[in-house]
Amino acid sequence: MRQNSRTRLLIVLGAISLLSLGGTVAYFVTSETAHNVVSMSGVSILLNEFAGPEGSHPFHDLEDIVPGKTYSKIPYIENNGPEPVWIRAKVSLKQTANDGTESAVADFSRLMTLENIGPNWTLHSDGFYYYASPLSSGESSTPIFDSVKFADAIDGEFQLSTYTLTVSAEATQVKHNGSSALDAAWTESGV
Amino acid sequence: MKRLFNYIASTFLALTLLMTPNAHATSVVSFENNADRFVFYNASDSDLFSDFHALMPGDTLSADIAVKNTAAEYDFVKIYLRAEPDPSSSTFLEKLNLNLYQDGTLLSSAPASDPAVLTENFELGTFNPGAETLLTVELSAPLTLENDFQFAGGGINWIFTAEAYKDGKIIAPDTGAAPTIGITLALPGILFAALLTTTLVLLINKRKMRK
Repeated sequence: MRQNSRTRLLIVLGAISLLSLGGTVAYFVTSETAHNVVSMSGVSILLNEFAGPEGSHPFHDLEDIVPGKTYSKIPYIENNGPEPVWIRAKVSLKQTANDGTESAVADFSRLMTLENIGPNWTLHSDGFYYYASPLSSGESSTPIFDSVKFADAIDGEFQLSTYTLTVSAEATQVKHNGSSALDAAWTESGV
Repeated sequence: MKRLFNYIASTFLALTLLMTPNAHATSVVSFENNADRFVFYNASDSDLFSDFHALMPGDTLSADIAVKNTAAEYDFVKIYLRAEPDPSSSTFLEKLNLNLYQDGTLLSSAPASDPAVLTENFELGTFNPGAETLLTVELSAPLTLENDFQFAGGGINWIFTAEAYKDGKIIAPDTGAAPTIGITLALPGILFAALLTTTLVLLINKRKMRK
């Protein structure tokens, strides 16, 4: 009888041991998650071209050029991105002869001149016009020029050809990038 | 008239003070008693780093996070931190560098796509009730970052984990949820108890037989 009691006691102790061990091994872990989104900004510009008094209408290609005449062409740059940018622009002329041959015209001053270069624009030795001040988000530059004047007498070499006057514009970030457009580093962002 | 002017001036001043934004408020991660969980303060939709937007190449942005234990019920709490970058944005995140400081000491400096010591649960310390630590996270974008990453974005999950202790033991609070973790870990305890009981019974029977 005594042995049976002892056995029963040990079984009960074992059961208590089971419960208490289960309680101390279980542990409290709670976690919460914070979700962080990291994002980059960027630069973006638009090159606009208008013509007419105060840029009243979009620029259209010119035909049947008359020597000595001045034609309205008003290109300017708009910052349509979120960041302030330095801007620069380049004007180039391409000749397409009757036989379809294309060639760049390095010095087109004998054919035409750009009139009334806008305030804040300066032509640099690398062929780019640099804008003197940063262009803020939503801001537009002054016109790069406002008209093109053709020479009074157009040399034979320029006759019977089609000319493409191209204005290209580039923008680069102002942040961490120099104190002017001239000493900024330029990226591939161009239009 | 003078009295009226003074009233208007002081009202304007009070309104100005109320309207002044706290532009760089420290985010707070607080382990709280009544919730038995972490609560985020000064966080926008659990985003503790609301300033980490619209970075430009060359930028280094930083954010402070105060991590604290305000649960008085427990003797102390151990708090851990783990970072899980979104793998789908790893091409972008690996371009950025993430520095993590704790109370001014650098814990980790690594690409945001692979945050070194924070890849596993990193123990921030043992926190008595009222104790806190200051984490500072710095995110840098290189000046040479390519144009392809303009307007790119990516996500990082920051997982805070707490272990609560009382009377020298990790305890289970009554959260109302099934203690699945507790039951799983109780299995070794059950086996041990069964072994103990069996051993005792055998010993007793052996004694019986000797007699």
